Amino acid sequence: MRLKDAYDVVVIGGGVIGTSVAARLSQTTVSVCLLERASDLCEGTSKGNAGVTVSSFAAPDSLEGLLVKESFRRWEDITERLDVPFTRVGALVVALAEPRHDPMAETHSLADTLELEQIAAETRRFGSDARVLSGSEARALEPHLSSLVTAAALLPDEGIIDSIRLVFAYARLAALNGTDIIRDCQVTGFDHDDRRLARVHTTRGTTSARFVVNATGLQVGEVSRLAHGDRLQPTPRHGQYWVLDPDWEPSPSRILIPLRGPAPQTRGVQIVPTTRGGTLIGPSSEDTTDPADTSTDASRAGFLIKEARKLLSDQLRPAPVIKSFAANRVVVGEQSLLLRPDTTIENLIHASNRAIGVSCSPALADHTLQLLRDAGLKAEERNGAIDRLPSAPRLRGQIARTRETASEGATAATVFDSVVCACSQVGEAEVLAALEGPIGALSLDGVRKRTGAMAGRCQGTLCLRDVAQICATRLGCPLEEFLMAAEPPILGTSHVG
Amino acid sequence: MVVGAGLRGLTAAATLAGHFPVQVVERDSQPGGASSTEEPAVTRLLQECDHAGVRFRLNETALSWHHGRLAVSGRRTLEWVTAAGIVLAGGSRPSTLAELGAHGDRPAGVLPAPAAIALLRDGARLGRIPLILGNGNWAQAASDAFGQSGATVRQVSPDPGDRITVHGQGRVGGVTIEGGRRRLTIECDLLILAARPVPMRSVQGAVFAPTPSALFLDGPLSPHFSADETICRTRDEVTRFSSML
Repeated sequence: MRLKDAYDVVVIGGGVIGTSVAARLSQTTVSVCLLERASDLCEGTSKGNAGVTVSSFAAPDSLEGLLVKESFRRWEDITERLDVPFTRVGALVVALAEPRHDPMAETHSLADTLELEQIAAETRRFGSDARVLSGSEARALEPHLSSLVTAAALLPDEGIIDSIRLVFAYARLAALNGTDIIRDCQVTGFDHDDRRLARVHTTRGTTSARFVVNATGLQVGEVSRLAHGDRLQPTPRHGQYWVLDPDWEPSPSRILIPLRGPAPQTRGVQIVPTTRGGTLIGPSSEDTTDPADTSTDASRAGFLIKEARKLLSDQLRPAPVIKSFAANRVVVGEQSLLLRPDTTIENLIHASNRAIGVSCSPALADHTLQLLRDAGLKAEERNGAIDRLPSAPRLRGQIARTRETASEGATAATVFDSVVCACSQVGEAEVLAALEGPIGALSLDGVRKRTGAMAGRCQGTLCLRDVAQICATRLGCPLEEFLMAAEPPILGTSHVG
Repeated sequence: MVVGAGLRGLTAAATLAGHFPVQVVERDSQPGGASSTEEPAVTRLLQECDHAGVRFRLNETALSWHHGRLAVSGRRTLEWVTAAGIVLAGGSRPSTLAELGAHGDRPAGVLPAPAAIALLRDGARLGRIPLILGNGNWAQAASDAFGQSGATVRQVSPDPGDRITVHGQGRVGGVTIEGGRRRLTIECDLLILAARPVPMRSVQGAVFAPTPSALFLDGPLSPHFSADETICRTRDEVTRFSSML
């Protein structure tokens, strides 16, 4: 893919924000390119996402709140059209009694209930039907909730999503609609025309841009600096998650959030079911100084799992961790959301979010389009714009669907995909599909991000070689070359894993 | 249904065949597992299975055990087979980084030994300065597989309490092992995980014991057991299991 001479909009950054903006723009009459400095999309903060779509966040009348409000109901439609796994599982914010004798138990319980009422009321202001449940009502919904749970706020509209597949789906949609997506493409500078950006210099060439969207996550400050724009100083906030085995019981159906964290001002450890059947525990949250530091600390796992176990029944088996991952969220100043034109450079829009990039991406993309229009971009909706991706049958889904339909005593044989990764139930056709198209996978890690292959409990022990062979054959290159192709080469595991 | 046609799977199949119709699901194209098909014990068991009418499903993968039915995947087919019970004899694998409790980065260039061995035998070079973590059969096989490539292979075996830290931005650069009185940092551009065997379980619904109507025959065995001793102990276990079905 080559950079053309000129685009109406250059979007810099291939995470959830950049790709959702590009997808939205691609449905209008403007020409768009998306630049990603890494060898694949979704390599930064978006790669370490927990996959939650919230139904409330921040003040409902703040911009961020409005974006969440405008997004949270759209997920069934969006994910059906983009073929992305999503389930509106709901969440329970749970109040826990002290495990030991607490002379102030009744007062604490009352205070907790009041706080839960506040949370439910806030959520209702977003248009979601939240309400407070007693401990026993909560346990009726989630039988494995610990006896320490005294009350809970039910947030019925929270959901879980495969956020990495969402990013690739946004990107594929953009590409189908004519967006040029260029990987291995780092922005090195800009030419200015008075107070406007005129040209974008990159490691893959130079192009003219009428407008630029800076969606570079932890690099928003650097890109703004190159553009002679606002001084932005993003701080990385480290968040670690641990992925538990999908076969682990008892796993909750809903997202579980403790009302209080282990220390004041900290959020507690959440338990998040995943669309692949696993369970996430996390995040831990620390400010870190190195934006590239995504290392994980196994000893924190013990602490976090202990915190998580307060939420679930005491009969819990030791929780089997199959992998851990970490990403740095982007904190710019006090606000979680940065979505505005630069104050100096007239055709530059900054777009970043600390906590809920995924959750507000649909409305954020719409709003970014509006900001561009306000800044002078002529963008009309385009007739014939593609708004859906072809859905592919997936092995995991086929297994789940046929599980109940085979009648007693009989065997049912159906034609479907050959399995490649048994742990994650990924088939050959899915692996091949991951290699297709302008943003096809170029590495094992790329296949893993798009399909989940090699991301299960055995981490590729059984399937990695087969996946590599399938890829090398399909791409028509020697095995050696495929394994060495992407930078870094031989992606057995990478930042996620 | 028996998952895995290695020594223990074949023993289970032969033992059960007197009492139940038995099918053996094996993902590889031939039985034997970690043992060779030529080994006398394996040959004898295969004959026993043959006489007893055991059905072999080679190149097929067991995927899911649910309410007395096992999902088996073949070439573009999925079949749910009803069974009174299943035997999981899928062997073992080295621990993953998470299972080792490893700290630090998660860079590229870290491979489980069985995958690395298979790729090396396919002719891929994989790295210039490989480090094998662990000793035992996989470590040996990996070391042998590197033999042809001319790379200098180092090997280190972590002790049970050791803290393992992986270093590398993008690509693995090294590993630190700390524990007891030692602290080693070893540079490498390829890390092969060949330590701390754990059972290889990839059948959804049959991952953690106890599982209804399932016998797990994939726990680590003493390396000192001979094939015959393994077979003997396995027969006992399977007989007990079969009497409960």
